Amino acid sequence: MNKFLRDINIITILILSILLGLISLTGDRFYLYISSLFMIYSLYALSYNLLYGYAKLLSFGHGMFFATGAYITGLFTLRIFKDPLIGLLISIISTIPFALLIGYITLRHTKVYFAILTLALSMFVYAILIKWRDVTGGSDGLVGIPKKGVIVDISSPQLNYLFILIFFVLSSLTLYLFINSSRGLLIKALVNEERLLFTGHNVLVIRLYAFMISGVVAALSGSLYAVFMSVITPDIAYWTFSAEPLIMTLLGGSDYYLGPLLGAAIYVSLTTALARFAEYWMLFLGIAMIAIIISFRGGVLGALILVTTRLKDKRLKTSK
Amino acid sequence: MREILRVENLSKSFGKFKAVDNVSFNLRELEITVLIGPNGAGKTTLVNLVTKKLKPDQGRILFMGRDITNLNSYQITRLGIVRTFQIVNLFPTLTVYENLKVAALGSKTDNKEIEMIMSELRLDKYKDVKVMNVSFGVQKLVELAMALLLKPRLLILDEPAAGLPREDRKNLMRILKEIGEKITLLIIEHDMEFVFELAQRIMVMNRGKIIADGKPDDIINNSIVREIYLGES
Amino acid sequence: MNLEAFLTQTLVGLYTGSFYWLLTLGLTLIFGVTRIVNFAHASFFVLGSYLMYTFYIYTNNFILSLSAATITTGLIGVIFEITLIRRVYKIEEMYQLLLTLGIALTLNESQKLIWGTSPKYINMPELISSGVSIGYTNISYYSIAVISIGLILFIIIHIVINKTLWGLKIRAVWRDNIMAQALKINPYLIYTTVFFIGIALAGFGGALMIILHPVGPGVGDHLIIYAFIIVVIASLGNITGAYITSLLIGVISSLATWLAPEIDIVIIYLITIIILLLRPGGLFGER
Repeated sequence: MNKFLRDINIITILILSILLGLISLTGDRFYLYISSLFMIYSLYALSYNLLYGYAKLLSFGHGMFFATGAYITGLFTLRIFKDPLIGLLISIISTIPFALLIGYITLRHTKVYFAILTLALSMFVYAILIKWRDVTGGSDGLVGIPKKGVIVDISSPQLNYLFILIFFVLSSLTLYLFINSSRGLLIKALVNEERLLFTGHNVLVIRLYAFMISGVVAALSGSLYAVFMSVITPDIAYWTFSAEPLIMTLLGGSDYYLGPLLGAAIYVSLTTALARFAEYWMLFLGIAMIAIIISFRGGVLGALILVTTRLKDKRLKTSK
Repeated sequence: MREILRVENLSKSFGKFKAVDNVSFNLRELEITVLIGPNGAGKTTLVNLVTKKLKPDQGRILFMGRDITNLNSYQITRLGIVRTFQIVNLFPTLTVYENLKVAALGSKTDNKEIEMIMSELRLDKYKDVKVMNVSFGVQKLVELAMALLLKPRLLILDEPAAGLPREDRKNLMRILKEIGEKITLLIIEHDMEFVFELAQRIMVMNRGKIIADGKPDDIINNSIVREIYLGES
Repeated sequence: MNLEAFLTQTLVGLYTGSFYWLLTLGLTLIFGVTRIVNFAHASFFVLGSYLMYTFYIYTNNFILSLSAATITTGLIGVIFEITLIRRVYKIEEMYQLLLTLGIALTLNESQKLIWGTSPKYINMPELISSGVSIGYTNISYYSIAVISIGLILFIIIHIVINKTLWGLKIRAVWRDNIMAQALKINPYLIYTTVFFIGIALAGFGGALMIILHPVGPGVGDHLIIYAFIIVVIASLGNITGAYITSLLIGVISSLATWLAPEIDIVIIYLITIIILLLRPGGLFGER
């Protein structure tokens, strides 16, 4: 227990949570908005990094879990039972078999085919979401997802914020504890697949496990998003949205547990807070991505991002 | 002595090249067998076939009477056939302890045993160091420790002494002799001193076939073997 | 079902497929020789369209603009190859994919900044008004030209790769880089050349397309998906497969949109998934 209390990742999450909690006291709408977005995207990126950074799987279809999480919550609360908490729980539970199915289909393949298959699958989900007007609302999406439910009422911005905050803290801590457990160690061991096989482990099962958990957390973040925004459209299933957690993870650093959080923070700041630069931020991200891939391979010295990663390096240098 | 591994008519070709050509042999329990032969003779391929890294084109493999020909790598590891690699093949980003833990999880061994092995092989001080940051000699010991934690009945070592300085070699020989008293060993090696110190039985491979098989003394005097080794040097 | 409508839709499918072919030919060539899956390929295709637009505005000359757009796109591709892609030939595929994704992102956004976000289109009624009449619809000679160009290109590439000395060098590098080096073929020269050709082809396709179809943000995103699913269905690296599959996807898409617009894209992605599950190596196997 002591070891955990002194763990820098846990300390950071707790400090961050306190800071985020303090923001809720200010009642400032803008900060509440941007922090909510930060927390939602952080979970999304954390779930992605479980696959990319730890399990060494490059998926281009992660958006399918975010989107199905969002749509299941939306549809459930709009059509079946009006409560965001129940909707969220139903969404998470439904994602378990869904993720296992997708994982079972895709994980048998080699890396490049896996990437493209996940791409095709998420576009398939997109196609369904955009064509099945009667159920999903088509390109207009779902509107008016309720915040006021039978069990919880998170209509007020502050309560909505707390709702997100609670899930953010619980999930990021739980995921961290998981990755440091025995099961988590086996996932980390996927770095050397051959050796893992010769150590008596069924690699496919371990990958499936990682895939399932990753999918569930992504669905959770999607559900929070659906309730937060009240409106969701099919573009969250389009492949370019699947690329966002990848970019956030690369930006922040995939080698560290909290890297994706930093990436999400940068991403959210650039897209919302610095609206003046909105036109340029995507370009900047593209260049940053190139710089990161090249420089880590011993080439061009990077940009601002590399410095940020180094700073973060000093703050969070710890074993995974 | 009981038979622990039986290989029957094992063959593997890569295109037109026959790497392993209709090989058959038995390994006896608790015997230390060393497999030698020139480079390219097919020794590593043979080991890859037995440990299911490769699929044989033909042949059967029986382990303790059970047909394992169609099982895959992690399954045979769980049954008790454990191998090490010629080129160090560990989990680079994990610590020494974590590497061992992964092995312990594979055989459902508890943490106490990890501590024991670490102290026996004197790895304690490297416990929390990432494996990619320790010296080559230590990495080889970690690999051996992992292999032992997997509770092998048959331990196959692919050139365990390769690249080790003299001091470490002697140390390794001593350790392997101790291990050999409780576990059946099959070792691929080139270092002749190592070979004759350890081997209770020697198999010689050349061009995909086993051309000699017997006690060390017999092998030294075997004319075909002499031709291959002395003729080539 | 109306035969004329069917014929029309099939022809539409064929010229759409021919554009896909112009896109996937380059992608396949680049992959076959360098083993790089170029995520940015459709961005270059779209770059060709934009460049064609700009050149045409200044010169008002179709052929000139077409040539300039094609060559310029190819050269820009070469710049990327020399400065960036060369550095990653020897590293893991995952990082190569990510690099080309970063390039795609950079190109897409640069295009938005330079040409703006409203769709661009070149209106050349003289090219597309005259054509073949099928029932009530008109298939322009231009579209038929596109289909023919696609076919001719296929034949040319086939001949070049299989029958010429230069093609032999390409095949050598395709199969075995080390062997090629032993035979004193400079792989890097081949890589750069193939990159130039592949990207120029993409630019050429894009330049041709903007006459028929407007180009704007999002077009590249859509095209790269189709490009990928075509090449994996066709088996990564198979040129003949890429041609046939491009045309097939074009035609199936077109017919699906005509007959079942409520589920047209669903069908395409479903087919892709099924094929990939049953034959993960693709339908044709690598050549």
